[in-house]
Amino acid sequence: MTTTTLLRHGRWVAALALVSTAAAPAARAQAVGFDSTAVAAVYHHLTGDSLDLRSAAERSPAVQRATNFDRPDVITAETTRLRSIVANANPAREFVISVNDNISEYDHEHGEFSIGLFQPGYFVPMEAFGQRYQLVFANAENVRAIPMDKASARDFDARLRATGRGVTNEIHFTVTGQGDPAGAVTGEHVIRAQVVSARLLDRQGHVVFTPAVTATPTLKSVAADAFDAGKADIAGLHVGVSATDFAATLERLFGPVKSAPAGRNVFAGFAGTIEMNADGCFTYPGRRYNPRPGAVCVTAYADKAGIVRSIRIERLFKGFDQEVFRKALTQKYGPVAAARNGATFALGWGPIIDTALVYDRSGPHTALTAHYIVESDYTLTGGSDRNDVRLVLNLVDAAWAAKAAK
Amino acid sequence: MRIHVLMFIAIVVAGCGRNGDGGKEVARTPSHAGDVWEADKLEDAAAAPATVIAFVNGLHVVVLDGSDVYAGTTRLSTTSESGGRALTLSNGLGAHIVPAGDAMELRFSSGERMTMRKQKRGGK
Repeated sequence: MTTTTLLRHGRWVAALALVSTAAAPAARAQAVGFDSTAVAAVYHHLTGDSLDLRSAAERSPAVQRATNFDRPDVITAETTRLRSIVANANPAREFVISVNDNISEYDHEHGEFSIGLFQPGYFVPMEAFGQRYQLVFANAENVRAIPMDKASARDFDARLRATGRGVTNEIHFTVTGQGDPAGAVTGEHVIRAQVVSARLLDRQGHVVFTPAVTATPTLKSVAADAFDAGKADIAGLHVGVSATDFAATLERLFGPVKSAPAGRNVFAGFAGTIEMNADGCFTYPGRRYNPRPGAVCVTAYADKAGIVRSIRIERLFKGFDQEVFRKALTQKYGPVAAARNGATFALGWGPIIDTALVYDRSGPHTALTAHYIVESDYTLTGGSDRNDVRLVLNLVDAAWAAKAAK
Repeated sequence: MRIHVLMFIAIVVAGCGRNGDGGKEVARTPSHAGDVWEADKLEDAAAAPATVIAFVNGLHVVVLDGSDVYAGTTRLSTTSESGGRALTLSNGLGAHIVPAGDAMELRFSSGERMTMRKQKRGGK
């Protein structure tokens, strides 16, 4: 019996993923079909993510059982066997895993329940080749909801309460690549999978719900076209336009603009700045007139020819669910290339750029980055009286920057 | 002669700045034409998701000028639909701008909606 755990953002949650030979038919089927080594092998075969086969061989049961005399030969044989497994892995292979999952309370606003594992940031941890992997489902959002009218939902909810809202989530999936396209799960060895079909079972193995599975055409189509920072926009603003047109656009939309020569401490290729309310989105704890939600700030840099090459736009919001931002970004830009998660988070797209050009040196260091930053202010009694969020979008003309750096 | 004509046409087309996304092109926002509309700054919690999507797509502050919407340095073409203007954003997301009294309502095809008000700023 193997036990894994369902995690969100690195924190333990209640549900346990069971890979077992328990009485439920689904669990038996899973025990027969699921092979974490095969899943990991397809991942390495597809992505080229490096795998230290010798180290994996040294940690294998065959080597652990070998005598000191035989160990070198067993390591060699095991390394060869593992290399063969990865080389011959079949990306079309469909896997089945059963996860002890749960169903949320009814969302009256949207008329639906949600399946726990398919919410953003959840993954199934697994071990193979002596190391840990995180299994995420790229089309989770498409299978997350259990839509239901209120009358039906009342009966469904009563059934869920009787089982503590717990279900077994039997998922058929294929491995499709590397990384969480939503950028919510980060770290090494994030296996991207696609749900082919799924069904939720109660403890007796009866089907509770069968999600309608759709692939991720939106993300696929974007992934097929390489991200082009020269054509992308942030909040409608493009690099590659003239500084004069850019300034006129800001002036019309937002208000007074300041243009000036670039300072000394900026990227060497920048010759001028265009600013609109540049420092007006920061909250300074204790300051009397901190900005209010709705404040917008823009800072852009132009090259010697007067072409805008870098833009940062910020807007202050009242606190909101960060997943709204993440979803809007992945809808627009496609799968995330790099991410940094936490109470504040940042997502990135496009090629890596010079660190002198990034908004936040702690990353991501990509041409386009989006940042969710919680702004705190404090009352005289020491508590925070604000729950504002500053969203920052930063875009650099990466192709120009690469040439300018030479 | 014919080559010169073709080159001229090619230069004109390139100069339009089309980025391959239907109904969307790079453009300077007009200095005077149209009106500036912006997301309601009160930003109640219910409107936050729509305002975030609008911000990401540049629709939080726009110039509406006839059938064109200027979002940052992006000009979006619209079509007339149900008493308002419909526009296509990225990856299948659409939006519909509908008059609502003195205000406008921005409705996304994903269900989120928010109020937009005409910007009040000295002479702009």
